[in-house]
Amino acid sequence: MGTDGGWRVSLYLAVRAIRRGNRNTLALTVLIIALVIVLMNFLSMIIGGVVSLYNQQMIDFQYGHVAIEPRDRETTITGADAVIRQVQRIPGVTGASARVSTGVTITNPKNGKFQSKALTAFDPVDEQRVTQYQLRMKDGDYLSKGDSGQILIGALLAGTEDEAKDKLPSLGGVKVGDRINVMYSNGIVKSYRVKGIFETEGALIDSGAFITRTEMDSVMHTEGIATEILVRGPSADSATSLKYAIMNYGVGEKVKTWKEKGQGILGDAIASFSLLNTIMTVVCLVVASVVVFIVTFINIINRKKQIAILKAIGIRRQVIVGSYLLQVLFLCSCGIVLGTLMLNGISAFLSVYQLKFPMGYLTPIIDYSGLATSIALLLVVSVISAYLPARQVTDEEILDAMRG
Amino acid sequence: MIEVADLKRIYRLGQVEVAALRGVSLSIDKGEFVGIMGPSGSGKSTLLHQLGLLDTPTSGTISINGTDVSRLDNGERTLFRLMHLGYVFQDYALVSELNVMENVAIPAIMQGRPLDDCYDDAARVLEKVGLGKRLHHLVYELSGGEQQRVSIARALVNTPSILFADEPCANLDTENSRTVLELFRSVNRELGQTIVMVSHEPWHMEYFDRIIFIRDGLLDQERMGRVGRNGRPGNPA
Ligand SMILES: Nc1ncnc2c1ncn2[C@@H]1O[C@H](COP(=O)(O)OP(=O)(O)O)[C@@H](O)[C@H]1O
Ligand SMILES: [Mg+2]
Repeated sequence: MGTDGGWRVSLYLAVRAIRRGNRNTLALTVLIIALVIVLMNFLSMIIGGVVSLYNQQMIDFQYGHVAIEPRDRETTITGADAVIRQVQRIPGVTGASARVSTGVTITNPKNGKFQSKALTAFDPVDEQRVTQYQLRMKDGDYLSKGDSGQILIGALLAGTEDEAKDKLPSLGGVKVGDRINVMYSNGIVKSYRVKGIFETEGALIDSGAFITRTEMDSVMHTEGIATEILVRGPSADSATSLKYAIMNYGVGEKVKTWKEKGQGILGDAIASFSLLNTIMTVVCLVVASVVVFIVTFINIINRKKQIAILKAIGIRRQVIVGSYLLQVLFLCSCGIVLGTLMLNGISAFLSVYQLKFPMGYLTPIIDYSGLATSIALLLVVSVISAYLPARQVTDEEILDAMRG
Repeated sequence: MIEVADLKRIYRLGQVEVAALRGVSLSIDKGEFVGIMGPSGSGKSTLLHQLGLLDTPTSGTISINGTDVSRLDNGERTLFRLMHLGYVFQDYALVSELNVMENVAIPAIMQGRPLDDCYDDAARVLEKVGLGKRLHHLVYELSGGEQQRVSIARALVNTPSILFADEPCANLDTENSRTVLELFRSVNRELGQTIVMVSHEPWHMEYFDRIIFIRDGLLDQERMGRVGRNGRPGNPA
């Protein structure tokens, strides 16, 4: 008896202190904690969006889910048709496209501007099953099987007549139906009609150019070979198991997932972002801890005599400390809920009014495991910041505190 | 009920020692309303704090209801105060976020009793102190005298063995002081409540069954012999 009432009394005191205490202080504290939650998670929400956007672009326009590359010390995959047939038999594979890339110089005869590029050839039917250029045609049409004398170019490569508006070096304003010249490494120069212009918003991607295998084979005699084979499987997450399935089916070439291909390009940027994020988190935690400390301290220092007398009449110190901890836990819970709502609100807002990044329009992605971590950290820091002043004040001898 | 033998309390302030109690022995019986009186600084509060387990004597023994309370550790003393003792101080220091009834119920809730019982008891005691109609008022809506009566109700809610009061009327005018003293006398007479109260107001004497005079940290035997109403001049060693 007398000991089991402890938490009940803590809760009893805390509930009434919250209900009848100062509303403004309460609202302000909750707001600050909510903002701390938002700030701790905002950057990673943006980074998450960037990473996801970048990954999606790598998959949809650059590598598919898995890319098969020539063996070491070889520059091409020979017997590409056989490899394609083999890969297509693997369960889960929805498309495979054998590509040939070669270095060329593309010239716009109207203004003499030229760019050195890798020109890639694919079979449009196969390619559509792996990448999504066909969905991103800004102007004109996608290539058809057997097209010759036609070329597909990216919007950034096509460029604009006003050079100042170009984001990357371009051909200075090429339109569908225009003719451009391509000079191959074997000295052949061919004139192509621009069949379509695509725009993915990815800077690297939109400065590329594509022709059909038929066309490439006739110029470079690349029948039956490939410089890479892109494969699409069931999902981005299962790329690794697809990779091993391909290897198990006896494909002897190098097999890499989109993740392995993309590694390092964003890696450094993400590491820097993560550092910023850590700094932000620490600053936020310090802010939260100071706020909680001050709120608790002011709250409790004004009640020294009340507390002394509660102790005198037999209320254990821990019960009083407990009531302050419960109050802070309540404030934090409200702040966490509000902060999470605000974060979702900001995310929804930015999904409608999207931010434009070099690789396109960004959809923020809330990192819920990161959010959970920040909530846990916040709770720990807040409880400590409330405990310290509460203990300091309740530790004081009853008679000393009563004298004031 | 209370037996005190050779109680000493010496405060050490750096090099200086202040002997607030220099060897006090006395006994208080169940049902007595005892006043502790003496000049300012004579050690009245110090004595009350030792009896009420709010401080630890430098030497000497105190036994309450047969328990040698000088042996209790801190946690046991807190529990003993909760279960057996009640306090009224000069400062009422009620909890500002609790209403009148909740303030009074707190010690009962702390004992682990069902909430409804605690509220019933609180309401009953508040009725007794004349605040039966103010149960749901917040503390700041009450006058000083009313707040002191709330704190008396809080002290009585657990029906303590002994009620300690240290100058409970110091912040009150004569009329409110009288109300408080009448209240003490009525719970003493009607419920047999043992009360030990410190005062330095001569006119309070008429309310006490017996008075313990102290002076410079010792019992003032001379005055006790003269004034002790029931002819029991304390119990000096
Ligand atoms: N905490 C303390 N530290 C040092 N001296 C104290 C302390 N409390 C009381 N005293 C001294 O002990 C003596 C008795 O004090 P107290 O019991 O408060 O007197 P009273 O209540 O009779 O006015 C006084 O001289 C006072 O200054
Ligand atoms: Mg005093």
